[in-house]
Amino acid sequence: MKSVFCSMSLAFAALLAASVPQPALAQSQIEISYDEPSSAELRPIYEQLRAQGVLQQLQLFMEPLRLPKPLKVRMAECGPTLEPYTPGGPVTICYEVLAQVAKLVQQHSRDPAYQQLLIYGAFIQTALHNMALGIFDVLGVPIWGREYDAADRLAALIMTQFGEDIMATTVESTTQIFQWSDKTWTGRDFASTASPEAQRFYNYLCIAYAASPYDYDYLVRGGTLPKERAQRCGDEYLQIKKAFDLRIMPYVDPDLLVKARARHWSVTPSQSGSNG
Amino acid sequence: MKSILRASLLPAVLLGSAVAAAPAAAQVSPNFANSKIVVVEQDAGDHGYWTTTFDTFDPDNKRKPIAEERKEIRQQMMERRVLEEYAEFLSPLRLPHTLKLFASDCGGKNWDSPYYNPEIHAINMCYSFFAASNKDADYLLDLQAKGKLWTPVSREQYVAGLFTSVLMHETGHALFDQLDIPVFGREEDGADEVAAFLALQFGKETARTIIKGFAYMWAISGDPRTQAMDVTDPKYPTDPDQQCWVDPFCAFSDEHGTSSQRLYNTLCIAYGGDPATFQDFVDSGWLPPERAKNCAKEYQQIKFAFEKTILPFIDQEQMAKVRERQWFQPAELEEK
Repeated sequence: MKSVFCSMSLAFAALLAASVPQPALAQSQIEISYDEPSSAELRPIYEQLRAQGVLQQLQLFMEPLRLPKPLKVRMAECGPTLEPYTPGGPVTICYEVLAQVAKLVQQHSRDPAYQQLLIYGAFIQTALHNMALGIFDVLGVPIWGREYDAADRLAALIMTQFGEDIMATTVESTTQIFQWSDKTWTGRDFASTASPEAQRFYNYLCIAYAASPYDYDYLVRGGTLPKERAQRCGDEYLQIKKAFDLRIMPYVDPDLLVKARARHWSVTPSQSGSNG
Repeated sequence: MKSILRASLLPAVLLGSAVAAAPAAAQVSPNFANSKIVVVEQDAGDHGYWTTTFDTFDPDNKRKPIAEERKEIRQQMMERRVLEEYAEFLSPLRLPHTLKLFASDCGGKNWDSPYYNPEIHAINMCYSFFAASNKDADYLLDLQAKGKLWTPVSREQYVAGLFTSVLMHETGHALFDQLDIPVFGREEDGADEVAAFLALQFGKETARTIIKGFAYMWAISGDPRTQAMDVTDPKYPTDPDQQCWVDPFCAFSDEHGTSSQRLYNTLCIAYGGDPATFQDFVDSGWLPPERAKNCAKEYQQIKFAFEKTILPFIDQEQMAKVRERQWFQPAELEEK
């Protein structure tokens, strides 16, 4: 199957690459830390992400969220049991996950700029997914459906709320990584609480298509998103939006949300977005 | 429309005539009557077991007589009073809209999926879906004879559990719709969770019948990889939608989980809610230990969601009556 998008802005990656760590935001309830990995293999990704202040950007992004208590978000080496979240926190973004993504990306693309785009997009998706679990816990959100999918759907919804550049970058990265995954799911693999990458691919694509059907109509016309699913994406989007509005929106500061949306999260592309 | 299994396109076609007009109701027991849960007759005396198709694909709503080969299942369902008893079972629910229950020949095909239609607040139980249940039972009993089942099941237990669990799944959709419940996860999984959770609330024997009916249905259904087809295969479909179903990647595009996912979700909820009653699921290896260890937490998640979003709409006094009653016949509870 071909790549879902023809060319991409490097805006978000450029922004992250150029940023310097910001001082902790007075209004953010997201407390961050970069735990030093013990594994030498993971040091490069730890140092890169720390130097580029990715968690600080995440703090800024999530500033409108007003939780009853702070949510700790850390990057850490997770070891064999990769737990993104346990009740009470913290939210953990595992270096191993991003390292695996980097390896996968390097197998499929020789373009360093595109590689960086995908890695940072994967970071955002992983961060939002894992933070969703923390938000569900802190806010006591009743969850119908699998919690893993609920976190994906919330992450996908957030990706669509900050302009087309953010949406394009994050959705492109997310779906591309899932598409490239060569894991075969059979039999008892399906006992996992995680969902198959192919399933997640369509879940994210469906939300993006529903959020912007005119822009992403070509995905349906080209057969990437089957019509049978596409026809129901509108309902899926409305459902997750309704759930968000009822259970999470009351904890979002409307003035800070306006400021967050008004911020220029993407910049003019400095390189082509080819995946050659 | 929300169907239990993947089906072809379900466009939102407005339905007129019999269902939208004031329905004629079949008889339910007065002690378990609820004016908002009604078994709808199409023709007087059919008791809600319609003798025709009822196909929302057909904008003219032409109805054809029930296929000959499905008359027997209709008769079985009538004799068992499946719809009437289910309406009685649901009597504690306090719903804003009338929930209509009926069975029909649906689209008249060899296989149609039961569904809940939110536009008319109706659950349509398709005969063809249940016509296969006896053949499925044959298959399960054959596996059992060969020692290949994880836990024993009888024909009666499987069929009764299947009917009930599917009704409960569709009721899950009805509840999400009618009560405007926020659903963060995928709704089809949520509806499965409603079914499995409800199954555990009426005693051990009832729980095992419903859970095993649901679980074995998924256990004998296929997953995408098992149905993958090569493009060079002479039987490779020409319809793009059907091509997707046999593509190993595209087959995951459906909003339903795979049969195996749904199986393990069901087993996990059961074990998580009542580990003593369902210990054999783990001991037999049916539910992998890696999943089993977190099932209590998964069950608590569902219980919490139920208490927050559905329990306020349940009449506790009526619920007590429902709990006291024996819903299954002895043969349907028997472990074999």
